[in-house]
Amino acid sequence: MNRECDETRLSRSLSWLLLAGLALAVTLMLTGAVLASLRTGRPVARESSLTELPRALAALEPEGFLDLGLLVLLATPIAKTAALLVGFARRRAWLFSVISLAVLVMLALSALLGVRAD
Amino acid sequence: MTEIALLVVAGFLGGAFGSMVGLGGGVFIVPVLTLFLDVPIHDAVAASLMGVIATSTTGSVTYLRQGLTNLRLGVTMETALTVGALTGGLVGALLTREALSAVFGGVMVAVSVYMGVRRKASPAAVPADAGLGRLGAVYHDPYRGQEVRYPVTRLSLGLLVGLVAGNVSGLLGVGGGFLTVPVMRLGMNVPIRASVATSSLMLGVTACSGALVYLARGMVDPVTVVPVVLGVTAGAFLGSRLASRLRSSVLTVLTAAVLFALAVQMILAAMGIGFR
Repeated sequence: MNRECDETRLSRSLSWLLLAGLALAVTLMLTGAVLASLRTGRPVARESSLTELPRALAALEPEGFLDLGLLVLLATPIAKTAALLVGFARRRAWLFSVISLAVLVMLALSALLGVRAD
Repeated sequence: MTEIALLVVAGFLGGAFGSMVGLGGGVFIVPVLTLFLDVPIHDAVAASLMGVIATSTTGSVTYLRQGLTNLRLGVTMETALTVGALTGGLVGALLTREALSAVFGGVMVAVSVYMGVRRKASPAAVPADAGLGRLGAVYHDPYRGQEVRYPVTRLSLGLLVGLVAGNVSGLLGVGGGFLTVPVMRLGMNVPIRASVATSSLMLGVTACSGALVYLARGMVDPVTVVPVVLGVTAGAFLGSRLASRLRSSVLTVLTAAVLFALAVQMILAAMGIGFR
């Protein structure tokens, strides 16, 4: 199998991954928006903490669904980069697999530096 | 309720136009939110970054299926973009936003004029048996109905510009496509469709790098961000489908026009006149 055909399959897999992440994020955000519109008297709070998320979801609070939707959207490009790392490694394109890993490390550093700067 | 509808509309327009020309839409979303909807600048930047991720993801679903995205080139340039986004804060300490706006506004005026004038100059045709190197690729152009083969040249230039684009993204809350699309098209021999598609994929990672910082600092307000993201998603879905129906030359002129408008906005901002 030549490189073009092989990477066409990888492109299609990535396309499905991005679509799944986007669909899940949009579904969660729409659910949160509907719950917020049904709730009267209390405005939607600014983002809740990660530890609060399971309780907010279980209590059907809109904040939980909105925050989880945003987190899923944020995680989608990260998952895409991880899939590229695996995809290139399976095709023995080691150089590009290592480059994908470097991108993931930079994303992790962004989150860490954001927390440190707080 | 009206404000939420306006946020959705702003996101829709930013997403539709951004995905058509390979930008994230942030250059449109941030000024509209701050000027017309009185959204605080940090909330607007956070909403813009999340919107750029939505534009990138929605557009890339289509472009990846059409085989236009150059994965190897994209991930290689993402290294420079993420390093740039991460170091945006450090450079921001050295340069004022006005100085950055003036420098990039000037560069973008030159790039947009050059793209507009040279829009008919396509990359040189490559024989079917010629090697494309590690980063070169092949795609089917749906408008011309033929296979397009291209090698990638001057990667070092792309990485350097990627570093700068990432830096600007981290500073201003935009994706950086206004720099990566022209440099791929004009400096690296990548055809416009492949440039737009590859830039679209890269923008998501660049914006993610900036958005992670905002999220970690608790600066993402779902009341502002969610309507923008939902609007952007719908707009980008439409825009990425419209893009494949446009001639490459139209796409190039459209990109040049957006760059010119953005350049004027940045120069005005540097002079203390403008949206932000």
